[in-house]
Amino acid sequence: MNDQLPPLPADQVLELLSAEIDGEFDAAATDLGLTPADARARLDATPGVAERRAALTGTRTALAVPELDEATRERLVSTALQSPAASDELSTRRARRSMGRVIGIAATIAAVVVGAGALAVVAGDNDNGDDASLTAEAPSADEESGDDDSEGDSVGGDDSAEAAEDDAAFDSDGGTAGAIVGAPDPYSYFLDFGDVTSPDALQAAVAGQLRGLAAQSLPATGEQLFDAPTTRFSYNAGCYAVLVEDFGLTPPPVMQGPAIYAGDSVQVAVFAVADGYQALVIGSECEVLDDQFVTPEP
Amino acid sequence: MGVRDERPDSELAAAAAAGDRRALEALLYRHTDRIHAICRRILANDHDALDATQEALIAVTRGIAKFDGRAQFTTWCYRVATNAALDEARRRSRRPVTMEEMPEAAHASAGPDDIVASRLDVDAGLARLSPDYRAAVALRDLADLDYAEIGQILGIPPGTVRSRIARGRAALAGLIGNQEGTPEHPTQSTP
Repeated sequence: MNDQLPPLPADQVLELLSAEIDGEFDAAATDLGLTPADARARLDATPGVAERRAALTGTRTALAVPELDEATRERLVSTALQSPAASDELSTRRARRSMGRVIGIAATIAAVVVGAGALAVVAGDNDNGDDASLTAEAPSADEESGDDDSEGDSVGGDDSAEAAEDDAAFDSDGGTAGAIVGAPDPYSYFLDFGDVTSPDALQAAVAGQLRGLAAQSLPATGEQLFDAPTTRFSYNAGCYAVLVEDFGLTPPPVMQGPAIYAGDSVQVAVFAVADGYQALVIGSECEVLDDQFVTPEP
Repeated sequence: MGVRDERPDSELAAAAAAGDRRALEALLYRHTDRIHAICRRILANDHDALDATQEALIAVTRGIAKFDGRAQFTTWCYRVATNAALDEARRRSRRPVTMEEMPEAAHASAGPDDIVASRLDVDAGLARLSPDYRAAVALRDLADLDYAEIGQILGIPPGTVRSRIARGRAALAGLIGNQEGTPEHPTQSTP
């Protein structure tokens, strides 16, 4: 009986054999406009089917991926489990930063309205820097206040007011689009930031690196040290994913690289934001040890 | 050593969704290898696969509270993994590819280490497919999902799933020498 049946076209043979491996033969036959019995008969009438079946079956074995070693598995899982805590912490810091910014703006307005000379002078002299310093100081100033703004925040859930605040302050789309003149291209430079234990040291290190980049005629994209091997720690991607979301930043960082913080090896990542740069000091557990807004030099 | 828990996924997922951290940890340990395997085959690159695995585990951790149990945990979890891998593939397509990241050509299998050569062959075979094709094959052969589940995850009809899997397997079979010839342009969309 099979002798009377025409062989199937190669693509149909392939689909039927593959579907057969997966127990989906009947559905495949029907989709091809054949009854399962006809499909089976015509398949059997096609030369070389047994070899093809064996070849396709063999790919399943070839696809197997070795299990991860225990240490890698442990690290991946523990990093993931720490992410909510890191996120909550970041939300708290973000809220504190926003609060600091609001207080700063209110103080400036009050100073102007009341005409308090000294405050007005400070605000006038230090327009950009004022915002930066308030931003930088807010987290440490509030750390003792037991600020619990982020309690109950679901991980990754954007909280209304603070998200709005932060969107305004760190509006990534607008920020990057309205980039600072002379800002590096949005590709990561891999640089050593040295000792960044104090806020001033971090500010100076980042400002210095920015000066260094600005002094160069920026190399073409292909020449940039993008994804240098030492940035390929597997925790980085997940860690950055949390950080950029919670800080409202746009990846990739314009610069990143190793640094020392209180004697420990850390990473510094610098992101372009609306009116400057946000520098993060990131510990090995993805905790943010310091964050500083750095105003670009004119 | 990771947390071991004999309870089924559904129970662990429900407990994890309710805030049981140990249950979540056990779930993550249980599925990390599979998540990694899916990412590894979609991305055909060790580094990117680890990054995507990390992203997926974080996404599971952050999203477990919203998991309502209507779908199987594995389907949901592998969807997260697939999305993480496809996102990583998209990111990779926008940045320069280093020599280390380029899949080796088939002739690399002439090397002395058969295991490594075999891995390179598989990667080279997979590299000829678009990530969407690789995803279909990986979800079937590594995650044991049926066509309907794979279709849900990838947002395509079961017939397209079947076609992608067939072409993916044929490409792989052709390259690793299990089959003569290779399929027609497997990186093109399925008709």
